[in-house]
This record gives sequence, structure tokens and C-alpha cells, in this order.
Amino acid sequence: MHLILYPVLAFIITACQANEIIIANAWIAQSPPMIDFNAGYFEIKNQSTMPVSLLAITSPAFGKIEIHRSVEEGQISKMQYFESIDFLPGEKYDFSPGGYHLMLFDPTRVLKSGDSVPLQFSFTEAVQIQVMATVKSRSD
Amino acid sequence: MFSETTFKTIGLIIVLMIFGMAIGIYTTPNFREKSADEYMEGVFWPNPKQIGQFETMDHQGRNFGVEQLKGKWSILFFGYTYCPDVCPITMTIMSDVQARLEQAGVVEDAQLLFVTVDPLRDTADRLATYINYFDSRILGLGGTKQQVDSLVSQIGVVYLHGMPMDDGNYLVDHTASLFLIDPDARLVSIFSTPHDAETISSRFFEIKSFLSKLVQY
Repeated sequence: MHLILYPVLAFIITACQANEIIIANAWIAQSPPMIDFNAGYFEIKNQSTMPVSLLAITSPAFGKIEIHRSVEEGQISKMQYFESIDFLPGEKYDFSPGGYHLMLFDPTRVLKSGDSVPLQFSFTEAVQIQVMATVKSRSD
Repeated sequence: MFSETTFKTIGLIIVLMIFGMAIGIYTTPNFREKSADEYMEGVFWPNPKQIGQFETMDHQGRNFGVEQLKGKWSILFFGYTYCPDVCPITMTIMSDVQARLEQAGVVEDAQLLFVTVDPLRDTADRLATYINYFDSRILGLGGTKQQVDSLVSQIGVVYLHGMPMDDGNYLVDHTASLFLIDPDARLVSIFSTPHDAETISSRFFEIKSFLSKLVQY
């Protein structure tokens, strides 16, 4: 195979893998005025035949993004932190209020309801997916 | 063996006993209804915990103690303004509950109270901004740690401050249940998670109606 084909092939493989991970309905909850972080939610489906790991999320609108989970043990609300998170093949996952969610720290600008914010998801095998998340009030 | 007279006597005694029991049951006022009327599942009755003296500060800088609980039904929930996920959800639900109480015309008799378990960071100003963002009809309670603890310990709420992160911020684990206090400042019920406005408000109406028949508020 001609050398030039390798990068092309690599690009095609990455693109195929990206198509096999679907991220939908991403939204960011608007925060009260004195709070300098936001919670983010989305749905994700791994349509591939392999497990994938979400390693990082970045955005030009935030300084730092982490994966958290709200859990309850005996009516006590607690927070768990995850370095990365695995998605099994064929499974759909809900990152929703009161469960798994993104913590978006240090917003670079004031976010208003209706704003759109790009989120870049980085997975294993160098798969990158960018989605637009809508800023919404929780009561909407 | 027993004679015929003995059989007749025993028979008569049994008949009279059954008759007597029937009269007893019949004449006891509301025999069945009474026991049912004094019991409601999930309500700490007839021995609710009396809330004693405590001193907190509301988000408008006014003292809030046991006197401010008296004369109104109070629904208390505990959290902190830096709480990223669960507290904003509960605040939104409580705002919905407040609207339902207004619709039902009982808002004068009730108050919704958000008590911070992070009083050092949640100053009155910060609480006020937080409350006003979600629903200015809710009352925020804070003060010094000692003041907040004087209420928290009586209700049985637990909270635990986590290790500070790189930026100095920290998370707080805390009780997520809601607490219903009657107009005589007694803890009468606890609402477990998951919360939703419909369940909270209908439960409140049921308990209020149940206890109002037993107590002259």
C-alpha cells in the first residue's frame, strides 16, 4: 500500500468509530449568578462492537470539565468523581440530573439560557466527537 | 358426668358473655374508626419530636428560631449553594411545590425553608442571591456553624465536608430528605428521595388534613 494511504485510512477508521458513538441531547443547566460552575447532561450510545472509554471533555467555554455522579446512600447525597468512564457495546447511557453528569468549571463567559456551547469528547482509540450543548434553565 | 342443668347453665353463661361483648363493642364510641383516625402511615404521631430552641439567620439577615416555626407548617430541606447537581434540582422542585401551595390557597399557612449545611461559605448575601435565582418565596437559613448545628442536630440531619480540591472548593455530603414540621414546631414527617413536587404537595395536604382533625392549631 502506498504510504500516503495510511493517514487517509487512519482518518477513515476514526470517522467510522466516531459514527459508532452517538451523543445526543447535550444540555448545560444554567447556574445562579454567583456560581462559577455548571452541570452538563447528555445521552450517549455505543453502537460499536467494542467497549469505549470517555477520557476527557474539553470546551473553549470552560476551564475544566470533570465526570461526576450524584449518589445516595441511606438518604445521604454524595458526589463521586471519575477519571474516565466505560461504555459497553450496544448500550445507551443517560447522563441526567441526580445521576452521572459533567461538572463544567471556570466558565470563560457568562452563559445565558438559549446559548450553544461546543463540547469536545475524547475517547480511546483517539476518537473525538464534538457536540453543541444548549444552555437551559432547570425549570424549562 | 355433667347433668343437663350444668349444660344449660354453661350454655346460658356463654350466650350472656357473647351478648355482653356485643354491647361493649356497640357502645364504644367509634370503635373501629377511632383507631384508624389516629394513625397515618409515615406520620410520627402521637409522639412527634418537639423542636426546641435554636438560633439561625435568614437570608434577609433576620433571626430565625423556634418562634418562627410556630403558627406555620414548614417544609425544610438541607443543602449548600456550591452543590452542583442535587440541590439545584431540589430548589426547582420546591419552587414547584410553592406554586402548588399557592394554587391550593394554603400558602399563608406554610413556609419552605432551605437550610445551608455550609454556613461558612453561604453568607446571607450569597444565600439571598441563590434563593432569589430559584424562588424568592423560599426562605434561606444560615448563620454561624454553631447556629446551623443547633437546628440540624435536633432534626437529625447529617453532613460531612469533603477534602478541599485544588481551587480550595470542597463538596459536602448531606441528608437529602425533606422534613415536615407542624405549627407547634414538632417534626411530624420525613419525605424520602426521590422527590417530586406532586408527591410532596399531596403528602403535605394529606398530613395537614389528618393532623388538623386531631390538633387545635
